[in-house]
Amino acid sequence: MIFGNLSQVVLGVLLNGLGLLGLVIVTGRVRHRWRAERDARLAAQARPWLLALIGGDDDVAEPLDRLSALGRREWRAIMPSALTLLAQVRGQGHDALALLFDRRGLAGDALRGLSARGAVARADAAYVLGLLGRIEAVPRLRRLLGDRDPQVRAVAARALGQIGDPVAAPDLIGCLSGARQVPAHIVVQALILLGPPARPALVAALARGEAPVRAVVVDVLGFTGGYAGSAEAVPALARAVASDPAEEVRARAARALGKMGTRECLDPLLDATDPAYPEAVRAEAARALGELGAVEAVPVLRDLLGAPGYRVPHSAAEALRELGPPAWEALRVAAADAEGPAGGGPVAAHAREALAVVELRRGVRPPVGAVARVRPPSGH
Amino acid sequence: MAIVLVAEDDSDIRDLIVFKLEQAGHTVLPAENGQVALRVAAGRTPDVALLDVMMPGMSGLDVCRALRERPETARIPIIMLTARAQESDVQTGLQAGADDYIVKPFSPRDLTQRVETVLARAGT
Repeated sequence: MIFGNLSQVVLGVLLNGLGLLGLVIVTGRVRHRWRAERDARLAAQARPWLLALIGGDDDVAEPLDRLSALGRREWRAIMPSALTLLAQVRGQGHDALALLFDRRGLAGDALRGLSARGAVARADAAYVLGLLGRIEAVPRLRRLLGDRDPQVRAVAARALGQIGDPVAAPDLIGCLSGARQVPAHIVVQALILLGPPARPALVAALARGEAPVRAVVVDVLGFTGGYAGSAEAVPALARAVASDPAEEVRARAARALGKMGTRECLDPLLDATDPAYPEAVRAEAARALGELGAVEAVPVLRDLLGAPGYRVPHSAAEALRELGPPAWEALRVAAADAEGPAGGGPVAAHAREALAVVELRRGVRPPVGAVARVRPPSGH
Repeated sequence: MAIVLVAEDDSDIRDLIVFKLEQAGHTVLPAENGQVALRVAAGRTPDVALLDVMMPGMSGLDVCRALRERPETARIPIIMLTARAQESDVQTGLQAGADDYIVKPFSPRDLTQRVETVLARAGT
C-alpha cells in the first residue's frame, strides 16, 4: 500500500517535472525565435544607413550620425553585418566604418577585451583591432602571440599583419618556433603584409634562426621582393643559396631569388647552377632563372640540359621554355640533336617535352608520338 | 544603364553591391548562389555578370562557364569577385571566360567603375 502510494507520488513528480521541462524548452525556443525576429527587424531598419555609410561616396555625415545614435539593442543587431563589411571593403567605405566603430567605442572595448579571461573574447578583441588597424594595440597583440590558446595566437598574428607595424616582425618570426607556435602560413601572410620595412628582421633571422624558420623567412623575402629597395634581401638570399647549412633552405632561397625578379638576382642564380652545388639547389636555380626572365642565362641553361640525373636538365628545359623565342631556338637545336635509336637521348627528350608545352600554349597540338616524355626516376 | 547579374552568397556583401550599382543607375539581378544566378540569367539576359568565385555548391567559375555556353550570355562581360588573389586563381578565372577580376577586400567605388569599364569595352 505504502509502496503503491510512493510510486504514484514519484510518477506524479516525474510527470510534473517533464511537463515543466517541456514548458521551459518551448518557452526558450519561442523567446529565442522572438529575439531573432526582433533583431532581424532592428537590423533591417538600420541596414540602409549602414549601406549608405559604406557605399555613399562623400556624404556620409547623416548615416554616420544615425548609426552613432542607435540604441544598444539596435546596434547589437546591426553590428555583425558592420563587422563583416569592415573585413570585406577597403577605401572610403572602410574608413567610414572605422570612424563609426570609433564613435561607438568599439576600439576601447576591444583593447580591454584583449585581457579577457575567455579565449574567445580575447580572439574577438584581437580580430576587431586588426580590422580597425589600431596601432596602439600592437604592444598588447605582440604579447598575445605567446597566449596559451593557439586560436588567440593565430588571430593576434593576423591582426598584427593587418595593422602593419614592422616592429612586430621579430615577434612574428619568433612564433615559427618554440612551444607556442603559430601556423607558418599565417605568419607568412602577416609578414608579407608588413612589407619591406620587415626586411631587416627577416635578414637577421636568416643568420640565426633554426632551419624551418630560415626556410619560411626566405619564402617571405621572395614574396616581398617585388618592392623597391631589395638591396639588403638579395645578398642575404645569395648567401643562403651559397652556404646555408640546410639544403632545403638553399633550394628555397634560389626559388626566392627567381621570384624577386631583379637584375642582381642573376649572378647568384648562375653561380648556383655549378656542379659543386647539390642537385636540388641546382634544379631550383635553373627553374628560377626561367622565372627571372633572364635571356642571358640561355647558354648556361642549354648546357644544363646535358647535366647528369633528371632534376637539373628537366628544370633547365622548363626554364628555357619560359624564356621565349631565343631560348626556344636552343631547345629546337637540342631536340634535333638525335643521339639514340629512338630519335634522341634524354637531352633531346627534355627539349622536346618543353617545346611541346610551348606549342600547346600556342594552341598547336603536337602529333601523337612526337613527344617521348622523360620519366623521372622514382623518388622525384 | 545596364542590367547587372550579381551572384554572391554573403548577404551583407550582396546588399552592398546591389546598393552601389543601383545608386549608379543600374538594374541589378541579385542571386544568392550559382544555381539561382543561372535561373535568373535565363529569365532576363544581363548585360554584365559579377560572380563571387567561392560560393557553396556551384562556384562562380562554374557559373561563368555555364554562362559562356549559353548563346544569349556567351558574349556578356563577366567579372569575378574573390578573396583569392594568387596568379594561378586569376588565370583559372580568365580561362573560365572571365573578363576581369576584383579581389576582396574591395572598394565599392572601384567596383562600380570596373563594371562600367567592362560595359564600355563591350559597347553596351
